[in-house]
Amino acid sequence: MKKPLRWSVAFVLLAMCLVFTACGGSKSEPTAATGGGSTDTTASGNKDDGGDTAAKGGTLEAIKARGKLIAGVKYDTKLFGLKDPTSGKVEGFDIDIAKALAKKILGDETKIELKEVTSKTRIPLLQNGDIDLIVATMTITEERKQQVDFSDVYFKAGQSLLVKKGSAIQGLEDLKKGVKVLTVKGSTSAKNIREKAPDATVLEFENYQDAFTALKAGQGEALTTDNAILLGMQKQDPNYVLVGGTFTDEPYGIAIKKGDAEFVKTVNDLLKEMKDSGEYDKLYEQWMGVKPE
Amino acid sequence: MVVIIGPSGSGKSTLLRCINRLEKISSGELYVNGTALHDKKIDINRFRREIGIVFQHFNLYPHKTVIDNIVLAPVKVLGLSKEEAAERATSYLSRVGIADKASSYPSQLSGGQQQRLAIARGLAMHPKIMLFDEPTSALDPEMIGEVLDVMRSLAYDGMTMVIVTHEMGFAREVADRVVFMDNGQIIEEGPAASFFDHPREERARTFLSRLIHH
Amino acid sequence: MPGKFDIHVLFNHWDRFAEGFIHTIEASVLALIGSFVLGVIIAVMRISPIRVLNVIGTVYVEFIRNIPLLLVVFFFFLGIPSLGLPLDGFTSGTLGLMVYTASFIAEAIRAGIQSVPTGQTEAARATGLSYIQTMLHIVLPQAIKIVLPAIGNQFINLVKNSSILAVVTGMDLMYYADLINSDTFLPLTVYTIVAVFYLVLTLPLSFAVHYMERRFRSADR
Repeated sequence: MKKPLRWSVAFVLLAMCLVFTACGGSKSEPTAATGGGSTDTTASGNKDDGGDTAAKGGTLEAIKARGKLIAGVKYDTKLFGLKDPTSGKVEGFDIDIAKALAKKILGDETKIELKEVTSKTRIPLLQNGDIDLIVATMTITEERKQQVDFSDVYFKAGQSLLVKKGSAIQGLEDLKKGVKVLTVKGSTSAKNIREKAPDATVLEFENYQDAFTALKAGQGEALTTDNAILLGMQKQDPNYVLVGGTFTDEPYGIAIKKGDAEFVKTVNDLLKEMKDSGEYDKLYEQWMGVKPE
Repeated sequence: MVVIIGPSGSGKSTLLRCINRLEKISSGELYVNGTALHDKKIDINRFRREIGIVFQHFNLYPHKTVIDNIVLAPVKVLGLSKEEAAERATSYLSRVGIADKASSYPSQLSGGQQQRLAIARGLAMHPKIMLFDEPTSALDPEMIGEVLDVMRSLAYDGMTMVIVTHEMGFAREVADRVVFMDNGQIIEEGPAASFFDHPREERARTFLSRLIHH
Repeated sequence: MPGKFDIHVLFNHWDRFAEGFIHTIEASVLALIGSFVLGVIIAVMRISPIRVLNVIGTVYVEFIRNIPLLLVVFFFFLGIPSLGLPLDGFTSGTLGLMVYTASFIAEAIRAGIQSVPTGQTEAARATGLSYIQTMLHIVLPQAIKIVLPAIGNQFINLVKNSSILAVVTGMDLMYYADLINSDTFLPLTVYTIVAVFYLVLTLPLSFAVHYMERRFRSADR
């Protein structure tokens, strides 16, 4: 009597564990999709938009008529666009770029309205005309170029290395056998570093904060991920510095409704002006803690 | 051979257990074999090896065989080799009449056999004194005799023994001296014959008469 | 399709499953031996008549068993290395597991020791055995028999808790499972396979506990 009973209990438990993992599986589906790349979220749909609004007068006229610039920005990204929970103000590098644009077009940097966008919502919002442009850590890709126009590169993002100040590791070529490189489980950064530094030991953590803590505790010699995240860590603790530049290429651009060449030119002119005047460098250093390369 | 008697709760066992300091000596002085037992600085383990004790409830080691119950202390305390200790153990097992049980476990023995084993365990240390704390109180009546026989033979061999017991017949027969206690105090003590025949103290007389009438 | 069960994952990623499984076994066995020895020492300290040892034992048990395992592991993974003694993920995870489990084993053994009748100690001490000899030869062997099922349960917990190594890059089964999952996006498959690996370790332990419980129950008769 006893034995079959015990086996049936074991079976039920196993079945339960299957059901639970199944639930976990279906839940993680959307995350898997975003992790796979935000590019595909808008690949379908929005065909109706095309470029017909751009044809009528263009964005620049619309802004001037309205008297304010509506910019799609992130509210949750350190250094670029982050809402301060106490003051309610949104601040960051992207925000300041958008403000400079408002000043250039309307002569006043306060004539601006910020709208929160996410990687998923930003392209539809732009195509619907809800926002005039996107300044939201958006990487320029060929796929996206089918749907929007991009300005010149305003931030050179890419995977980089964070090491302790004075470390012998100064770039990818120093990641030899026995060197421990820390990153986050299952991230693109983990795949990239395995390819680019096959001899190094890659240790993967639950999240970036854990990985950074482990780096500080001496559990590894370098931490690798997007430089935007690493710059935030460097700002948080100046004893750690970025080295070796970026070894993947993810340039950020300002997205504008497709077909509005006039507005693209306006934005590009402004970026050039800012770079020439040194204003860009000033903003960059203010937010990233270091001068642009 | 000294027998300690008295009503229950009179402190007999406590007095006995003070002799090897199983009870803490909170005040006063106690000398045993010339050792000041109340002195906390003495090496109590060294002292105790010279005094064997047999308990009311045997306190045999249930996880060890009969022979291992005996061998443990001679090996660990006296530093005997395992062979020497086993030889010694076997001879004492024969002496108490359970040599054939050497490889059994205590739980396979009768009460009387268990208590005889406990006695053998004490003797194997070659103690100068043997203490017995009501050694027959937990035994079925038919087994009391076999334990008393062993103790009697020890007495005839001249072993120094201190016994707490309710077996008055046995006490009278083998005791040299009797200590009568009541309420934690020694009321009367003296040679066995004179104590049993002419107790001086009233309380001793009452105690004895009550026992006889039972 | 994350909900799909695809057994090929097991074969395609066999080397990583196997490596993780071996590390899980290593960590479990090392922590098991260590926590048992440490647990016995702490238990003896807790009931020792020497006050200092007593206090140390009590503080150890009450402190360690009342904080999360993750904290204990982080202490070894992040705390100790920052003091200049580098411990990798596997070592710190195993040490944390050992120290943590020892507090529970110490409690089980203490209960076992206290369930051994005092007459046993008295009989042993009366023959001149020292406190430690008495513990070693008389009290502990009896106590451990009594608490073996409880200790067995702690060992089952230990094997399961070894998944904490995944958090500190201890290269155990769970660590590789997370990595395989992020490569395949087949969580149902990956974690079911992992569950079976854990069951391979814990079910025999569980049956052993049942067997011991049954045997001691019949021995009591």
